[in-house]
Parts: sequence; C-alpha cells; structure tokens
Amino acid sequence: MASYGMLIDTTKCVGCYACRVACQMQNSLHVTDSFIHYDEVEKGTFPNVRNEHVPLACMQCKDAPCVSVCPTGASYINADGVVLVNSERCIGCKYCMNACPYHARIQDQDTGVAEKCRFCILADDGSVPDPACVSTCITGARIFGDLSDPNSDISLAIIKKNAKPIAGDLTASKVYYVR
Amino acid sequence: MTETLPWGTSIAWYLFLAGLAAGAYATSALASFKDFRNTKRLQLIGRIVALVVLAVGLVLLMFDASAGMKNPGRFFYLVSNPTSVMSWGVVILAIFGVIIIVTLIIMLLKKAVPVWLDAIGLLLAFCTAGYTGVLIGVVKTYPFWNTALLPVLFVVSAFSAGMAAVFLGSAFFARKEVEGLGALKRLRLFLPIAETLLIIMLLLVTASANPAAAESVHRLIAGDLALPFWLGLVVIGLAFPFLLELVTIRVKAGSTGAAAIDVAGGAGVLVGGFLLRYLIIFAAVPLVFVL
Ligand code: SF4
Repeated sequence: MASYGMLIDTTKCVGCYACRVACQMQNSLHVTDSFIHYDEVEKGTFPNVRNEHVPLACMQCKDAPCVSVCPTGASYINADGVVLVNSERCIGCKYCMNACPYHARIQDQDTGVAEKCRFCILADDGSVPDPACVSTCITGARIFGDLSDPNSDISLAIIKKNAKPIAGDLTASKVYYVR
Repeated sequence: MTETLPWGTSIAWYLFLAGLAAGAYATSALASFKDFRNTKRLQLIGRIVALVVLAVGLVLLMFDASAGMKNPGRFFYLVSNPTSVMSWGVVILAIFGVIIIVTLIIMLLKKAVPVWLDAIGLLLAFCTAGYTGVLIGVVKTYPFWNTALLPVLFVVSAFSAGMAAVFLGSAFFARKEVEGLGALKRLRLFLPIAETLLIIMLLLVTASANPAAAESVHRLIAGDLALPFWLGLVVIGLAFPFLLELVTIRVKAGSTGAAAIDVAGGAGVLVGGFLLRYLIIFAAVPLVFVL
C-alpha cells in the first residue's frame, strides 16, 4: 500500500522532450499521440526572462475527476494510489477526457479507449522501477516514489524544494512541481 | 491552448434529442391530463416523436463511444458507477424509454393511459431533460458549462422544443385537437422569455466568475460563434417564435392560419433548441491552470 507520486523540477527541465519520446515508446503510442504534453510560460520581467517548460501529464489525483465521472468503472484507483484505466471496460465515451482539467487523457486511435499516464505500472513485475520518463530525463528533473513514506527521496525533495501541485487545490494532485 | 474538444456535434445532437423526447412526452402527458378524450392523436404524435428521437439520440451517443461500438458488450457496464452522472442518465433513460413504449402501446390498444403512469412519465421526462444539463454542468474543466443554471435552462428549452414538435406534427395530423389546449399553447409566450432570461443569466454569471468562461461568452456574443448565436439562437430560435405567437394571439385555434403558425414558429424553436446545445458545447474554453 504505497501512494505513488512524482516531482517535476521545471527549473531543471530544458524542454528536450526526451520524456515524451520515452513514454511513447514504453507505451507503444502512435507518434502523434502522447501522455505527456508541455506548457510554456514566460517567467520573470525584462531583461531577466526565461521560458519555463512545464511538462504535464496525469496528476494521479486522489480525488480523480475522471474516476468519479467514468460510468463503466473502467477508470479506477489501485491500492497504490495509481489512477488506471481498464481497457477491457472502457467504452470510449470521453466523459473522463472532459472531466480531467489537465487534459491528461487521449483516445487510442485503434481501440477507442481513453488512455493516459499509468506511472508505467503495467511494466511492474513486483519490483517498482522508475517510470520511463523519470529514468530517461537527462537533467534528473523528475523524481518518482512513495509519498506515504516520509523518508523516500520524493517526500524529502518535496519538503526541501517546497514543491507544490501545479494548480493549487484544483484537485488532490500527487504530482508536485518545483518552479 | 487550442485543444480539440472531446465532445462535438453528435453529443450536441444527443443532448437536443433527449431533451426533445422529454418535452414531447411532457406535452402529451399534459394534454392527456387536460382533455384525454379529444387529444388522442396529438398524444400519439407526442409519444411517437419522443420514442423516435430518443432512439436516434441514443444511437448517435453509442456511435460516439467508439471503444463500446467495437465491443458492444461493454455498454452493460454503463451503470457501474453511482457517482457518475452518465450512469444515472442511463438508468433514467432506460425507465423513461420503457414508460414511453408502454404508454404508446396502451394508446395503440385504444385504452386509457392511467394518470399515475403519465405522472411518473412526466417526472422521468423532467429528469431526462435535467440530466442532460447536469451531465456537462458537473465538468469543471470548462467553466462555461460548470454551473447549476445549465440543467434549468435545458429543462425549459427541452419543454419548449418538445411542445413545438408536437404542435408542429399536430398541424398536419391532428389540427382540430389543438383547439382545447389554449392554456398549453399560451406557454409559448412564457417559455421563450424564461429561456432568454436564463441565457442572459448564464452569460452574466459565468463571465464574471472565470476568465475562461468570459472568453466563452465573448466567442458567443462577439466572436467566432456570434453569427449562429445571434441569428440562429436569438432571432430564429427565440425572438421569431415569440413575436409570431404574440402578433397572432387572436388567431382561432384549429384554423389553417393557426396551423401555419404552429409549423413556422415550431420550426424556429427546434432550430433554436439544437443551436443552444451546439453553441454551449462548442463555446467551451478550458480552465487555465498553469500560471
Ligand atoms: S472513456 Fe472510458 S475510461 Fe473514460 S469515462 Fe468513458 S468509459 Fe470511463
């Protein structure tokens, strides 16, 4: 019974999109589909400005709106707090895609199932490897781990770096951002 | 951020047709309460319209759910989640559908539809129209949808559209029966006013609550959706049927002139009813959350 979450440090992110490519490969997505997308925000005032890249994906909300609206029960939260989609139950009604304020879901072109980031949990064979985006990140901007363990790398990093969910209390997000 | 919206034209049609079914049934039931004997064809028209448009709407909805169309057995899972408005909707529609069919059969057997049955049907018609508003009203992603006014607006518009469809059909097949339903027809003056007020409230309330919704409102009144909004919804869908009703208020019910008004005004109301859903769906602008 873990509570998996992620920390993304946008001050380290250089916007190379390697995480998106790794994710697409890991999850066998079409080139035009992706679980990760990016927002670009201008930070600072002239002349000290920089372009902040904010990688976005499923926030693994504890109160996931996609789960509460899903009529078929295809969307659910597993015992480790990961929001998952049972592709055998999904009818592709796209209610979840509307309900997710982060636009984290995409519809699979072939199956019609509404898919999204699953923390690479399907690759899990009992051990818990880092998701593909985390292990591929060239600057170490991403940390994955158990939020319920106060001594995990991620829990310590959240406190040290004062990381916060991207949208305040819009949902009970388990992805934390350093900005 | 320009994202394509998950829901599009077929959902707009579905929201309209489900509401239309509810309104058509409600008109039948009310006509039955008022004067069962002399409105039998009109009631039949209402129940048939309700059944047909509800069926068409559901087919559209199913085709929009592509993973379900590939595996139709999955549609049985639809009632799995008690927190999902869509699950509730499926339950409501199933009961409503059965009631439409049962009352239709009773009428075709030339028996009287029990008042209690039509009363339950009326309640379910109300729930059906209301749920189409709640369905998108609970979606926080699009602040323009996310209001409790939407179900109220959809109920009023559904009743208006359903009544228009029934009187439109009756103009051809049951002209004389409309005579005794003056009070019901008078609602055609009241409903467009109520709908207009609700639309104004919706625009004002959402625009002041959130910048994304303000952008939606701007798109409707002065942006890319302004033409269908002003010409289609406001002029053809609301003002025209209202003014037509107002200036012809003394035309004798059951006359050819009254039938022509039912057809012309009714067509306007139906166009407006569809456009209302269409415009609300497509005016959606997502919440900005990365600041
Ligand atoms: S698209 Fe699939 S996962 Fe999403 S709400 Fe519909 S049934 Fe549930």
